[in-house]
Amino acid sequence: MTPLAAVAQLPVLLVIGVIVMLSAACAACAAILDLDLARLRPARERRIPLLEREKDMAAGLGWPWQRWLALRLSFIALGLVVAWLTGVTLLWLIGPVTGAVGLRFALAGRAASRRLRMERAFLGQLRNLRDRMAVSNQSLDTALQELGRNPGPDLGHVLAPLARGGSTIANIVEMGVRARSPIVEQAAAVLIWARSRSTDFLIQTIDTVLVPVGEAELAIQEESMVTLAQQRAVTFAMSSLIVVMLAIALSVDTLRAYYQSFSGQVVLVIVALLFAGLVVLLGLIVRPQSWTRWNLQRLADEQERLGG
Amino acid sequence: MARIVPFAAIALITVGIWALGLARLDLLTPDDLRAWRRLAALRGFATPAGRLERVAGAVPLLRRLQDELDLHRQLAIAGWSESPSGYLLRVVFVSLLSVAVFLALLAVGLVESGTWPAPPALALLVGALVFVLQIAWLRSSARTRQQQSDRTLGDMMMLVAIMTDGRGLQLEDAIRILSRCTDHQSLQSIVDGRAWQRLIRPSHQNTIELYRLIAIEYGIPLFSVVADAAANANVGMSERETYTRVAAAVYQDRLAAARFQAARAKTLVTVPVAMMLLPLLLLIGAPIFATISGGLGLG
Repeated sequence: MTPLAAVAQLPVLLVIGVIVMLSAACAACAAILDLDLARLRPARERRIPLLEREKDMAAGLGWPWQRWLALRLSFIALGLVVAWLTGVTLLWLIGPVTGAVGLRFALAGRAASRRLRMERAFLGQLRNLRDRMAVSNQSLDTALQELGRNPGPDLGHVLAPLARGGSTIANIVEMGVRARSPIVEQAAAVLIWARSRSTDFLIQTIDTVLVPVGEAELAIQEESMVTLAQQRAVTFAMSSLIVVMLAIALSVDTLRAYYQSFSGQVVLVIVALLFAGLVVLLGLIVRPQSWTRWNLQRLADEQERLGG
Repeated sequence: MARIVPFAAIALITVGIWALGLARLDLLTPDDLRAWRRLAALRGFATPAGRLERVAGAVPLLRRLQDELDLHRQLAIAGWSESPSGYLLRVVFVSLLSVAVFLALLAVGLVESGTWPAPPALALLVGALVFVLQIAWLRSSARTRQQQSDRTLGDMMMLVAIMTDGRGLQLEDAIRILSRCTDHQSLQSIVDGRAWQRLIRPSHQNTIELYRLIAIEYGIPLFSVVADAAANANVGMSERETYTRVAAAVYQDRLAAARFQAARAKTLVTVPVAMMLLPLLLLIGAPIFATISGGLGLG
């Protein structure tokens, strides 16, 4: 008798009674555990950390985040296709995991160095902005528009909003949102708050606050980059070593026969878990510093609320 | 009969804890009294302890456990709204629940196979593990909130310099406004949500004093640095210069930490590299061992 048929034979009242009892028990559990069900519902402004990280990565690569997500999904699918084609059971697990983690890992270094290059170029443009205001007597709005029109090779996408007309504050917010970089966000936040002051105040702010602090931030990013590069180099070396050893092992007939057996598959799983554990340990040893991310739109709203 | 006794005891304890939990919900409290208590809690005033909390406070063992675990402080730093007694009750409830679930699973195994799949005493170990994990979770949340608050406060000093000097805002207001504009609420709940009242009595004279107290009670030393900078600004130093200097000092500290980390990493990465020998040896050694043991008739 199937479970469904067994349930169908039970009296309706009994089934409803069990459901009511289970619901009451769940409600009592929720009350004792002090769960605020309203807070479990995602708030309107709440961001999904996983998606934010993917967007950061896409911005580092200079791609739209939709394209990056599509690429990741297609690599996961590729892992599944490889598993299906080879017929090796273990690959149904290892394939998609490698597709998901491997692509991100392979491109993380490129994204980080590109972001660093962009941030360095941005600091150069800040000096340019200062010179336009100090030497050419341009207002902040005009100088920002000029920067947007001549952004240089690494900042085309980031500074593009500044070239448009309309609200300067909105354009600065858009610039920060596009960059997804703590240095650019900080500078954008300062420009939002300092914009309505005099040109002298702005020049002084760039000279005494933005550029020196931005350089310090950049130096920290560079050190983090060194750390990240070490982590990646060691992980690549470890991966190559294990792949070479596996290839050698599988080229010998007796060893290949062993790894096709059940106990061989178990050993492969253990080796994969050990390897993953060591990579995680490496990530814990050399963890780059994290930064505060600003909600620039909210910052602009607060500034507006206080009188612009 | 002897096999039923532990189940009956656990069922009785679970029902007892359940009943205590329901009593804690103050189901019999009149609505207006509950509303007054809520208002008092929102304004940071002390509310009268519930019956259960009074009992928990009177039991020496529970009181000592609360003191040892430093629950009041840890809960305040983590930003969890429960009282220490309520939290302890919940932790005990969840631990007992896990014991009951584990025993139920063992009982299913007993019915199916006729023997215990694992010793029933293991359920106590599971309960203890769940208890310890919950306490560790609280401590980890508290530490994370301290770190996030410290980092955010450091990152906002450059903006504070602009807002206090250029816009004439008070330091406290600038920090409150900026704390609302970050990607997390750790700092905001302390300075804007007035969570500091959980650890600090509102008897301080000014913001500088308050920040020094927050630095001590919440374990966020940067508040003390900001308080010192504010004291300097109060005696005539330029606010922009003072707070920019704090920002620069914060970033210099972080740079030093990043350099130290990068230098240390060069040595520490040798540990996972050396440990990489383990999977390599396993990869080569497992088939050889299987062959030898098969040849000797062991496999």
